[in-house]
Amino acid sequence: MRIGGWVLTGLVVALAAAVARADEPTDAPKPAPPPYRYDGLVTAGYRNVDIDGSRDKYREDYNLRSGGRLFAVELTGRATDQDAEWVDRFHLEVDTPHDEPVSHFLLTASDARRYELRASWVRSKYFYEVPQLWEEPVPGDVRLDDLHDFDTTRSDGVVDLRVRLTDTATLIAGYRLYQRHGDSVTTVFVPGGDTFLVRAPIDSDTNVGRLAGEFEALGASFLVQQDSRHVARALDRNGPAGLPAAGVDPTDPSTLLQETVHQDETIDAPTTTARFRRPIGERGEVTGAYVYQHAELDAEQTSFLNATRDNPAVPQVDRSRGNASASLDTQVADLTGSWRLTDRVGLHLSYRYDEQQQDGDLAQLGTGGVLVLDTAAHVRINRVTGEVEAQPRDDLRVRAGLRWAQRNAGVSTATRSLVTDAIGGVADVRYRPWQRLSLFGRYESAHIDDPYVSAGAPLAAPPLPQRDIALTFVNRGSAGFRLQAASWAQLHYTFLADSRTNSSFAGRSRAYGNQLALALDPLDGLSCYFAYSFRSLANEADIYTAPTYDVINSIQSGDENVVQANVTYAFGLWKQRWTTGADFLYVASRQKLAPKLEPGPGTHTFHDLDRVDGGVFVSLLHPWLEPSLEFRMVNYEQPRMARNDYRATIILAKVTKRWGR
Amino acid sequence: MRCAVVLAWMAVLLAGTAQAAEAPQKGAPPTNEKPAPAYAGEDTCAVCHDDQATTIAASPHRVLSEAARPEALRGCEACHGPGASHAEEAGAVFDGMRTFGAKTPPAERTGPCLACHGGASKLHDFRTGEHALAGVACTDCHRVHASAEKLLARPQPQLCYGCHLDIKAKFALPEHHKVPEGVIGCLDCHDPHGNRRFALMRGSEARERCERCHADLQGPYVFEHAGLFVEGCERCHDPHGSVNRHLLVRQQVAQLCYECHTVTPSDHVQPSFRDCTRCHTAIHGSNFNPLFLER
Repeated sequence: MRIGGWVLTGLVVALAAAVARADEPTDAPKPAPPPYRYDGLVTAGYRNVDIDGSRDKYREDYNLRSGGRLFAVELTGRATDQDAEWVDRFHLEVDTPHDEPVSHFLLTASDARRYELRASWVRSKYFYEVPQLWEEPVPGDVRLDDLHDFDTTRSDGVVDLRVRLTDTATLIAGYRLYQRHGDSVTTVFVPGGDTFLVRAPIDSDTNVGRLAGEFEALGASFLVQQDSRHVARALDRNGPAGLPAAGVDPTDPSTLLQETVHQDETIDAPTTTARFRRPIGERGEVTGAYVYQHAELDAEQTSFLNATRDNPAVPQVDRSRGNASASLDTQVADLTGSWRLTDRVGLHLSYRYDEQQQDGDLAQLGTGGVLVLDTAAHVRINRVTGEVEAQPRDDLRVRAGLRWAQRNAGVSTATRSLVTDAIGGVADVRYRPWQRLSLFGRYESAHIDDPYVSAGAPLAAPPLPQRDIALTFVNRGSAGFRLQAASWAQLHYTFLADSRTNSSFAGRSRAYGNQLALALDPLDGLSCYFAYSFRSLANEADIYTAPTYDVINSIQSGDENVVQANVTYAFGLWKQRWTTGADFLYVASRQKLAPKLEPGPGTHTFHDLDRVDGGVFVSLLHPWLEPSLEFRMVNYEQPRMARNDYRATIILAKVTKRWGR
Repeated sequence: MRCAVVLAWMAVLLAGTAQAAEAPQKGAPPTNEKPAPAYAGEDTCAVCHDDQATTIAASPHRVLSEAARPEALRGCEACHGPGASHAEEAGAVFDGMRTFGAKTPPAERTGPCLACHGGASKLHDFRTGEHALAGVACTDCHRVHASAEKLLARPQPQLCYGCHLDIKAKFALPEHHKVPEGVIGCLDCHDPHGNRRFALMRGSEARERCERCHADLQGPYVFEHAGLFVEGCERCHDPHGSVNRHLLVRQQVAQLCYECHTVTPSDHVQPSFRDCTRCHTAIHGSNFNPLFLER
């Protein structure tokens, strides 16, 4: 917030100075042209929000609040004599800087011959505390909602500078900041007792530095880049800290008297990247890349737990101190060759190797004794692809390709290592029978042998099988057209189908969808857009649940309908320019879920929702001021979980002042 | 070791291609059957195309006007080709010129751009990337006469939505990555300029691309969740949008977990066990608990 305030103040001062400079009298004795031409805007106003229903759900989805707001500040400067200045053009932009769900700050500056600078900072807020998650109350449950709530803020910063050293060499420097801070409520399982709610503040800072060079040598172009990433996290837990001391199971008599955990983690991950591209004559080229990253984790934890247990054999107080470390080495290498065999036929071949090798160790000393563990995991993938593209006629393009991959994976704590083969194909055709009409179709398929499996229990009663964790037969297809019916009318239609299956556990995931979009600009100043999307989903798998472990058909199936439309119209009235418009979004989803995991009649449960979000606005584009009025209404309903419903009415009045162009 | 072999192979190929590129092209077709078209110079173009000349002078492509550039790579004709005959005939002929209209094949519209920008590392794989193979040309997304950021025809995500209607619809669902709100953009996860990965994804195969922003969940962990380590985040999450909480591919968490885990303790029968993450809170990986009961 404080950084945003300083940035905003700086921008306003800069804007005022720029405007003052731009407004200097032009009839001065020696009217030298100003070094820059400026244009900018400031938009401010008042928003009124009225919520009827679930404020928590509204806050999760929109979180727009009532009050006066500075909505936007923009300032752009262009050098009058681009050759004389070190900055050809700069642009400052601030969107909704104060107490809004998302705030943007952006600065760009460049000299097309010398450098390009881009700096941005985005702050976004995330809130989650769903009022009702299940269709029916569950007897004996303390809470029906998700027990993991959070109220956090992310801040992402980017600075990139590209400096053109010579015609063939560029220096690139960059910096990234990723922060997440805030409060959350989570759960802790107490051995011999119950599961309890505790507070777990979130505190994570990541800094990334980057230095790279692009250059040409030996007839090839190269990139060499070094990244350095540092992550620092504090993962504390405090309980009960104002939350219920009783556990989530009311039949369990245990209570949480105190839990205090302090855990610090750091990760250092330097990454080296090298890429090259080498043309081969007029018709071919070879590209390649190699990436190596070594990530090193260090973690330290101290914990104190005081809880009464329903199992008296477990001590009430537990203290522990532990250290953990892990390393992950990642290597990626790829090589691609591309040749134009004739003017109408091209061939592409590529190979890619991807490896991750992880090792970890834990040493922990607690009331219950000493725990020392070592772990290891690896994934290695070799992948080869080959594709042929051809253009037999000027209006017809076809493409076909084959893909093969072999994966070797193992996780020491999970199951044995496995070698998996996957083979697939892709075909694509594009046909333009008429200048105004484009047709396209695409199909891809993949088949996986011996996928990764999770462990089973063959000696249990009944025996429990190991389980593939992948849907092994994949087919995807799409087809559609784009019709430019007139210079002012365009129609776009796409059909999508997606099928993934695994016969070993009756796993099936099928989806198909239709998308239609119509864009119209029938009159000068009038533009209309309409889109409709329908998606039907069917997901199934055989699952086993305690205590009988009977095979149950697990289902999530249903459909989603999304309608989006907007209209804008710029017109003249009373010798003034006006613009008006409307937008509309309708989302409807109907989902059927099985098994029903809570008691009650029936074998299915349902997750249905409807959301309507519509708004209209009108603006007067007066040369001095641009007042604007917007009315928006959001209606959210979950027919079977009415405690989540809300209706929001938003009225927004704002004024924009522009300078310059 | 295997990687060393790959590197050695790449080095040999690089050396080989360097030799091949320097060798004379055997069987090259005879040239100069007719005189090469002549260049008119950008001042001549501006006589009729004043609007374009003005806009490009304010854009980063104004560097094309540098007098030191060779004639074929200078001014309007660097992209549009030699225009002397076009000017002499008052625009009636387009001999040897490129117009970048919809009728021009994508490869022809892309070629002039890559002539200058092909050496930039982000464009190394453009020709073999999914966009180029699907017939998308540079000028479908960029307006070379404009001065907007990155010369984009429209800001993202609207630019991407123009073709990817299904993705636009998914971002309209209640749970979505904040792309419509502008917190992140399509280009944070996808590389539109091409690579050999599925859906032009950035980053390595598994979770690296997600952890770039979600650093609060970044590994390595002492105890990795095998499904995540092997299959990546998308085994459980739908990145674009979903009606399910936390972008999960199933609304009921237990339903999702049971699809891989057939073995659960026999006392996991109470209603509270329907949410596995109620106790297994550190499901993305843990450094202190093999059962993911804490981070």
